[in-house]
Amino acid sequence: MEALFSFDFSTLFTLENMFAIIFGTLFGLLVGALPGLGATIGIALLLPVTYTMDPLPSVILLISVYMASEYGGSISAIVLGVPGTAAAVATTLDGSPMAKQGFPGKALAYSLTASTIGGFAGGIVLMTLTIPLSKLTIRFSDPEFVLLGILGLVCVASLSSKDIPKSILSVLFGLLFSLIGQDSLVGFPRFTFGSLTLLSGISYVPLIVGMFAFSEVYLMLGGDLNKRYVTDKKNLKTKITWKEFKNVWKNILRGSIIGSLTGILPGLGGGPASWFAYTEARRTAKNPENFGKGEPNGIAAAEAANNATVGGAMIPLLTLGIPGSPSTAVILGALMIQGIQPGPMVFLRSPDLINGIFWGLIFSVFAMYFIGKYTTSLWARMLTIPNYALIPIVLIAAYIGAYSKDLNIVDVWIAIIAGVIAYLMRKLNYSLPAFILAFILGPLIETGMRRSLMLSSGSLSIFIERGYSLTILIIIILMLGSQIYTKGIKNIIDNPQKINKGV
Amino acid sequence: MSYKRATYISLVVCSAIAVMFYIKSLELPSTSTGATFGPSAFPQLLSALIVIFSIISFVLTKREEDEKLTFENMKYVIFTIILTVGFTLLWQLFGTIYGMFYLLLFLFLTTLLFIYNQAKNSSQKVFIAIGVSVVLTSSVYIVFERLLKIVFN
Repeated sequence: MEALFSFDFSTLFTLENMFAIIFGTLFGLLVGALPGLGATIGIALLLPVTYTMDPLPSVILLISVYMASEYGGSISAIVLGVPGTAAAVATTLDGSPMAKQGFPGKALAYSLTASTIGGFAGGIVLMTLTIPLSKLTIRFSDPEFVLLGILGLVCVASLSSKDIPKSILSVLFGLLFSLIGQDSLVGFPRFTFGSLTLLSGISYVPLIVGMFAFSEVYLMLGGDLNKRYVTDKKNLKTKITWKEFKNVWKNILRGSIIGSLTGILPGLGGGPASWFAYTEARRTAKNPENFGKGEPNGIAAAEAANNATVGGAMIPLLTLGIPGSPSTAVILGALMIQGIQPGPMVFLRSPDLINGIFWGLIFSVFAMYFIGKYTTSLWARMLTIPNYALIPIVLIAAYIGAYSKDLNIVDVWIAIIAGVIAYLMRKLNYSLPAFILAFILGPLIETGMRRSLMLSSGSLSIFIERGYSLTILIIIILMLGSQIYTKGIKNIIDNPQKINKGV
Repeated sequence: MSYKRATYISLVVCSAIAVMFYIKSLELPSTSTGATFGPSAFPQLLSALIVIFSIISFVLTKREEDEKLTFENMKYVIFTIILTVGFTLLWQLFGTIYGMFYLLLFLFLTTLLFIYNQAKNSSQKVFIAIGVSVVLTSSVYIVFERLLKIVFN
């Protein structure tokens, strides 16, 4: 913690870092506001920009996009009633009615204030938990990392799609495709089909770009291509009074805590966090009947939560090197391109970078607040771009994003194929986050498992010998148990007749 | 198309891919020197699990009520995929010629914008498509080639 405050801020206040924060915030607000895009696609589209940058500004740039897009999603949710991101769906419930009552600026002010406090809270959780956790995780060895990888996959498989078997299949395919290339332990080529390009495996940046951005383009094509949202530019001044703030601060605080903790769990992110916070706000409200009719507490809780997830989601990435969401997976990619492997050792090797990321996140919240406050009407106006013009812009940005990591046209082919497959997967309720996280965690799980079994001469007892691994294993079992229990209860509630008849 | 039928087809494809990986993994050494868990073990385990979960998903899908799976504006989706593939192929073939990427990009964007725009006035559509494509192609050149030094040949 001492290092945190003895950080040399002059390394943060450079022209490049400030540009990264401001540009990232502007871009994040834009992709957040445009319906259909959002944090993951926004971060993936900006990834090529980071290749020529230093490590700190490149990560700060992507974090700023992540942070701002979470607030940006609420702009279209409130002004149009169309959530810009999945995380803003809960915001629509009260934000849109308040806007229709003639107070869009007020609704946006609640959203911006809550997003700012949520973002700070997430940042503080990140700062306070990361260092102690890294001191713990530095003691971890292969069995613990294997089990943590499995824990991440259990979480993401059970929470990221309504169809659990298809989520599990997505995980299994992610793991299987991660094995393509040279075996990391003995160097044997696997499933390369004689291709030299596949020897180094499938590059995951074009895979993510293809799966998220290309498939989103195909889904956007399914809508009205000439759709041009009409926005009312009146009453967009984002300002709330102290009295109004006092009315919502408890739910902002509650949403911030819920969001920070939810962000740590793999596979969740802003969408579920905002729903948890919204539900909790309504449950504890004196006037729950007002929710859905323009209740400020509904907006505040949801928006605080989705911004708080940003800091929370960075915790497993920095302490373990394990991304908990597609957005942090792209940030992991940016770090690895810079030659930095996140995990416990990064705290010893690059403490300035870590502290820079911490403070950079906090400053990105400041930037989001000030830029968001004065440019909201601009983003509302950007919503008038018709889809027929927006789609080619997103398509070509994704295309270049896939190519520019290694300047390799094979990556473009990977992105195109991945996009088509992901489009079909989304139509059939397979889980893209589950696939991507499994793809990234695959080598860690397989290599760790094989090394562990080598050490134990094939005995699985190595996974329960140490207290750390045993604890993680118990958490996995509890997670699985709670999922089976919850699904079982839901099944009984949904189909009581079938159960009674023994069907 | 029926959602159930589409799911069944996808599960058959999943199982077929898993079987293919399983067969390919038989060519790999089952154990390596000093290891009890060779390069073939993990892929074989995963392939088997994929087949098992495909069967589970098949059974559970069969129990559910069917719904219609809609692919809205499918002609645009297919057109976009074909055009993207064509653009990439041409770039791969002629990309070594300096500036060819930008010419192809301009044509690619103009075609997309013209086809996507639902306005009835054709001359207006052409004007908008060319105008927007010129702006976008120039932006790609300035941002990526000049500022970020990413070359496309």
